[in-house]
Amino acid sequence: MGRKKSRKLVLKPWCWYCEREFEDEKVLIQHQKAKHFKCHICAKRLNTANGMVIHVAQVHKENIKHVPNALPGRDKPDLEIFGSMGIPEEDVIDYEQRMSEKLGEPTAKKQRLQNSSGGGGAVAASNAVDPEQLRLQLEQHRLVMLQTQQQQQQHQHQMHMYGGYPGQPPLPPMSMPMHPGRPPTLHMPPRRPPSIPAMPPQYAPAMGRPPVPLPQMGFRPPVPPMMGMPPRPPAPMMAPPLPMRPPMPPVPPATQKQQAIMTGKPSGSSEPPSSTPINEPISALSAQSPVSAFVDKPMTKLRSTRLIYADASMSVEEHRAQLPKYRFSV
Amino acid sequence: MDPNQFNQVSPDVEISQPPSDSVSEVTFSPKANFLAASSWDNEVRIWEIQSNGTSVGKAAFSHQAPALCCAWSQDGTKIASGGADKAGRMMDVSTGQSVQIAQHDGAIRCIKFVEAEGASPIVATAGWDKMLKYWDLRQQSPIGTVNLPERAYAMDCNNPLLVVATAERKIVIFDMTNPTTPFETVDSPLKWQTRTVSCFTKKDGYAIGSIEGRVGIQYVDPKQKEKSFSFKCHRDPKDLASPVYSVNSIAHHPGYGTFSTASNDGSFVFWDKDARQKLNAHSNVGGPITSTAFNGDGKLFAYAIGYDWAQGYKGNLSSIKNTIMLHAVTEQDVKPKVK
Repeated sequence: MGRKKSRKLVLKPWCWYCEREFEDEKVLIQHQKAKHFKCHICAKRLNTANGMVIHVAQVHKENIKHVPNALPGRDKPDLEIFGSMGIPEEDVIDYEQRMSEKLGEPTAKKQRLQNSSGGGGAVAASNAVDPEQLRLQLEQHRLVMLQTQQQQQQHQHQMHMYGGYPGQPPLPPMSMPMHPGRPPTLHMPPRRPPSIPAMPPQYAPAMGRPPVPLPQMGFRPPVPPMMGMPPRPPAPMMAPPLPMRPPMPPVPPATQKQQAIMTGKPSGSSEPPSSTPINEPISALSAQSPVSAFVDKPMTKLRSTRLIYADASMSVEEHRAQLPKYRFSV
Repeated sequence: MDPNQFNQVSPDVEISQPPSDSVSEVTFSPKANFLAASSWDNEVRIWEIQSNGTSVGKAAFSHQAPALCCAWSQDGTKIASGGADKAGRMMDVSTGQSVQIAQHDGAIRCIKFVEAEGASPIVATAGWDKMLKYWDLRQQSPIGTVNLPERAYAMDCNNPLLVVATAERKIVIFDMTNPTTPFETVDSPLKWQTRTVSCFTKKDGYAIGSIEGRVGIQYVDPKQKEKSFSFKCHRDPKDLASPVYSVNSIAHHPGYGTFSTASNDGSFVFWDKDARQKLNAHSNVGGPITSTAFNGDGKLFAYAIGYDWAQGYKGNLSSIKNTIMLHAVTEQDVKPKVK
C-alpha cells in the first residue's frame, strides 16, 4: 500500500459504453439502465442494450442501431453487457492499461502491489475482492491442476466424491458467499451430494469476483468460450455447459451480493416478455378513459414542451402568405 | 420478431419536374394515377404516374398568388384549387382549360369536391375570411355560404361528412344532406392549433392533427363518441429536449381504412386506429413533409417534401428540397395486423 492510496490502484466498476467510473456495481447498473438501456420512447429501463433494441422494435416499431450516449465505437447494441459483466476482454485489458498509466503505475508494478496487498478486509468492501480474487484464482488453479491429476489417477473415487462432476472445483457453494475472503483449500472438500448435480455456475462469481479481471493471463485456466462473459476463474472443465443467458430477460449470474444490491428488484422484471403483444401500450389504454388516454404518460414531464411552431393564433401558412414574396396584391 | 425487418423500404421515387417552391397540398385522382399538387410558386401541376413509377408532367395552371389547396373530382376529370389570391380555380383535365369558379374575401385555404350520388358535383371552399362557400361550377355566386367561427385551416369531405377545422381549435362538422347548417361545432380534442383533418373511410368520424405532434381520433355519432381518443406521434425519439413537431398531414388508406400521419420532423407513420397500433414508420425523408395522399387503389403514397415555414426564415434552408416522393405502399404499411 505504501504512499499511494490503495483505493486508487483497484479499478472501480466502469461503464463500457461511456467509460465512466462508478463507486460500485449497483450504481453502474443504475447508470446503464438510465443512460444506455432506456427506451427513448416510453422511458422503460431495460436490462441490456439488446433488450432495449428488441423492446423498441417490438413495441414502437423503430430500429435502434446505436446504444445511446455511448462513445464512438462503443455503441454496438448486440453486446450483452450488464454492469461490468460481458465487457469484451480486450477492452478490459486496454482500459486497465490506460488507467494504470494514468495513475502513473506500470501494470506490472500494480500487479505486484495488488498481490502483496493482502488482507482484503482492509480495503473498501466493493474493492476488497481484487487481491482476494487473485489468491482465489491461484488456489483454484492449483486445485484444478490437482484434481486433474487425481482424476487421472483415481477417477472412480473422484466421480463418487464430486457427484460426477470431476471438473468442478471443490468450492462449497453454500458456504462461499458467506466467507468471501476465505480461499478454498483442499482441506475443505465439498460434501456435495450427487443429488445436486449441477449447482449452476452462479456461485462462481459469488466470491466477489471483481468486475475487472486482472491481467493474470498466465495463471488463468482456459476460459470456456461463452458469450463474452468476463473470464471466470474456476472450473475450466466444468462438465455441464453454462446455461445460456436468455436474451430477454438477461438474468445476470447474480451473486447474492448483487441481488441484495439490486434492491430486491427481480432482475428482468422490467423486461417485457417476448410475447408481449405489440399493441400493448395502446390497448392497455383503451380500458381507460378514451380521450387522450395514452397521451399523458410519464414521459410528458421529462419532455420539453417547446413546439417547433407555437403560435396558437396564426397558422404557418398565414405567416408565410404575408411575406413580400408571397403577398397577394390586386 | 427480427428488428431488422423494419424500415426496409425500397427507395421512394422522386417525381419528375418537381415544383419550384413548397407544396401546399398533394392529391391523387380517385380514378387514375394522376397526381396534382398546389405549390407556393402559384402553380398547380398535374402528373401522370406510370406503372413503373416514372411520372410525366401533364398540365399546369396558375394562381396569382400561392396555391394553397387542390382537389380532384370523383370522376377524375376535374381538378379544383384555391389560392392566396382569394380565388378558386378549376381545370378540366380533358381540355386543359382552367377557369375561376370561386371567390372569397380572403385566401382560400381548403377546397374539396362534394359529390352526392347522381348529383352534379359541388365544390366547397373555405378560407381565412371565416367563410365556407359551396359552388355549383356554373354560377358566379355561391349556392350556399356558411359563416365559420374562425379562419379555416383544414377541411376534408367524405360525403356526406364534411369537417372544417379552423383557427382557435374549432371544428365544424357538416352533414351534406344539410350543407349550410353546421351539424355540430366542437372544440378540438387537442390543446394546440389544428394543422390537418381527414375523414375516416367509414365516414363515421375524422382524425385531426395539431402543431403539437398529436392526433385526435374523433367519432361523430354520439353513441360512438366514447371511442374517441388521441395520441402523441412524431416525437423525436433520441432527445427529450428536442422540440415538438407538428402533424402536417393525415391521409386515410382507401382500402384498409388505416391512416398515415406526416410531420415536419421529416417522417411519415402508418397507424391502425381500431387496433390502436403503429403499423410502420419511415423517417428522415430529407425535409419536412407538408402534404400526403394515397392514390385511388391505395398502392401509391405521395408525400411532398418542402419547408413548411414552421421556423420562419431561419428554418428556410437551401438544403431542404422542394419535391414530391412516391412511396410504394406495402401491406406492412397499411394492412391491419391480425391479432
